[in-house]
Amino acid sequence: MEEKPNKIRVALIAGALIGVVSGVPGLNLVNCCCCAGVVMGGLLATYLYLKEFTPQMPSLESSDALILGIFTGVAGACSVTVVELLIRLLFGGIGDEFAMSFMEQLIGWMEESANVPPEVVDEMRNQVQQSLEGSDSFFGVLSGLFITLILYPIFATLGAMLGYAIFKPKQPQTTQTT
Amino acid sequence: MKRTSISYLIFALLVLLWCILIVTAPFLRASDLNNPISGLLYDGFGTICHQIDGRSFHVAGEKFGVCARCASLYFGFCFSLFLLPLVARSTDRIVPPKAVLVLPASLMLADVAFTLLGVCESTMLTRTLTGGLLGMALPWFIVPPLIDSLDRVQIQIRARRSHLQPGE
Repeated sequence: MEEKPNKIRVALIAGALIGVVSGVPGLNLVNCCCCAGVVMGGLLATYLYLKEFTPQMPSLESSDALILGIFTGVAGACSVTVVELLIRLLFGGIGDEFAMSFMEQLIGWMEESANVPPEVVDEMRNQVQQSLEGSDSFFGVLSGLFITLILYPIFATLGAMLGYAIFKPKQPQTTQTT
Repeated sequence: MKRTSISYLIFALLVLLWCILIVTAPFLRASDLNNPISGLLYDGFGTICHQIDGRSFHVAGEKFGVCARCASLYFGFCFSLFLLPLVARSTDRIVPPKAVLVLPASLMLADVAFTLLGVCESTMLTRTLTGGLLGMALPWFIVPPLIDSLDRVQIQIRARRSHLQPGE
């Protein structure tokens, strides 16, 4: 029987996607809802991993999804730090300005078309400014990495488990004895 | 106690702790505005939630650690998690239809989309309901494989230990 596919490769791909989604200004708003971007990354990792299975391989087990979720979360936490640093290095202050102008446009659009109350709009502006100020220093980057290294594996694992429950092919039922 | 029960219990306690921390943050801030633990909790939860004041539950005059939708999702998850072993004797034998997950997820997405598109603004009630429903649906899919995998890891660790200590 063949060995199971390599988890690291899939975890790196899904982790890189998490990094892009969570690191690019604007896109990272997805994570405002219970780390949805990271959960989706974990879910995607399980899906991609399942696609690599052949009939000759042993079937996917829940422990595979657990390990895959943890790896994906760690890869995601590292890649989001890299993406944020890259944006900072490449664009410097322009990156912040771009992020701020993008957010201003989004907030303005929400204010006009989505009838979002003014106090909510002000709160959003404050949040964006605070997040940009906090990520300036080396300590800010390091503490960000520390927090994401704890949170991302948790949420990516939950996503991977969800993916396991959704995508796992149904197996014929066997009689169970207790 | 079965191995499954231990894994389940640890996970359930961690989820409960998470929910308690969400509610603890405002109490700590209410007692002392510059409380460092409260600041740490708000900062930590801030990485996974927008924490907009107007969209959050309040207690003691301060907002929860996360917004109303996220709080409902976590509390719903916790509630359903504790309900799981009561409804089914064994936590790893339940496979609900996917509609149980798809329906509340669609409702929540629709609530968000309608707000963003300006069709109608979501209210505290819709946020709480859609978040809570999705939260209550999730454990039925996530917990059984998670407990199963934790059991497998436990078995592997025990096997390695017994391999290292043949006298036991």
